[in-house]
Amino acid sequence: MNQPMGKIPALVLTAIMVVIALPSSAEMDSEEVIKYRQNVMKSMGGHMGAMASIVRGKVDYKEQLVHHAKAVSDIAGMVPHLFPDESDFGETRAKAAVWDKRDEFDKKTRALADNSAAFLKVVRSGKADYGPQFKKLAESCKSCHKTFREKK
Amino acid sequence: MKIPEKMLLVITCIWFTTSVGSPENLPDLPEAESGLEPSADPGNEIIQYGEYMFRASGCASCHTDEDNDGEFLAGGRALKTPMGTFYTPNITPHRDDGIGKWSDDDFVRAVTEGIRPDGKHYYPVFPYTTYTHLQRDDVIAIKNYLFSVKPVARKNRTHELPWYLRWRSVARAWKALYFEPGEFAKQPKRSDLWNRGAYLVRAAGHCAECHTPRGRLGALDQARLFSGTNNGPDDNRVPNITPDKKTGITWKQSDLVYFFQTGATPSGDYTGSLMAEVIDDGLRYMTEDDLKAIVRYLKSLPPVEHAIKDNDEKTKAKGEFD
Repeated sequence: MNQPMGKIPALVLTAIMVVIALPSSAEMDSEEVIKYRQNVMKSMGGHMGAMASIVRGKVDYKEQLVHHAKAVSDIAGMVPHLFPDESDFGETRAKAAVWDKRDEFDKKTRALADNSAAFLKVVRSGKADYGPQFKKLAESCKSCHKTFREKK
Repeated sequence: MKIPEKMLLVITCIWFTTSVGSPENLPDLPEAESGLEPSADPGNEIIQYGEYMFRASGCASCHTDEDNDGEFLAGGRALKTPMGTFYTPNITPHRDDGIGKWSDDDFVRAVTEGIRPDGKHYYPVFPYTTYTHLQRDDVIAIKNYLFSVKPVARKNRTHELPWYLRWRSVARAWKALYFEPGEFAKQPKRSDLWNRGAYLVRAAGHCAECHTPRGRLGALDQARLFSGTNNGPDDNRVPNITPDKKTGITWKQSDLVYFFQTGATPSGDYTGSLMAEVIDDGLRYMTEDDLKAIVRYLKSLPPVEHAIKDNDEKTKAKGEFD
């Protein structure tokens, strides 16, 4: 039988090539991750902006507040997973510090999760004084951006 | 009188080689006149007022090296500019490493004239170009506040500058061309609110220092004040905050005030990086009335069309403005 690659059996070679060709679920294209992450962040911003209008009394959609709060709390759970290694390759505003100072970054994402959960709790409880907790939640956004996001 | 900038550099080089001095490391500050005794009473009205003006003047972020857990107002923060890297000085009332030996006059002269107690000139990275408009009483109130904070032992670090900028006479030359000292003068035809806003922006907040493009020798482009720059501090892009419809800022007054209080943009984004520092260390301490005054002033600025990359029409249409 003709074996162009010498001693390696053709079947084994084919098996190796098939495995290499399969996309690994652990490795995503960095630019796609960036695009995904930016969309997720924008959606969180959308809910935060909407909530600000309600909290500031600019609109009277108080019954919708809980939906926005739930959305932000859910999205907050995604954030720590949106910055895998090597996802700084491409046009991103995420600073190198996200990966260089990962412990500090993780602290910020935990604070976001905690504050958004606490805000959701206050809103669900029907209490009218959700203002201070919203402020704390907003602080989490700014605090992380201060250290870990570039200006445009 | 217009002097071509290259010629200016040559003149400056000749000036410093013939004038006093060799390049110096930042010397210890010499004995100054005995200053005010730091007040031990935190309830002191002048200290509280001084603290408010301190916040309005945005001193904290530059003079504290937060990234490296530096102590409050002990300096050491690196300010990277096209001219080199400057390290901010210690402005705690430490008697050897800070300003503890400074008199009122020393402090006023430093802040409003850009001159150290030993007579040497400050580089304009310290925005005395704006602070010169502060009223003397306000400057002294700020000094009172500074003298009430914890003295920190931390020696000033020498700036990292190219050789031709290491002589202080260069700063003196620059000032001869670009620095006009003088207190803010109210405009009688304008409202109190406008004048208050003008004072807060043009004398204390020094917004123009970041939000204005600079010429090659680092002077603000007076024809394009507040119109933003692509070459801001730390290589940041700084937005155009004139009310230009295409390239500036057109937010409602209440949204601008809210932004100064919380960092929230109308699209629900939260600002980060340097502007977040400005808000955290200064703007959020200010009264709502003062913030309204600032907005009143900003909205009266002549619109200047100056598209900062990304802060252009397309981006603005999306409601983002960071």
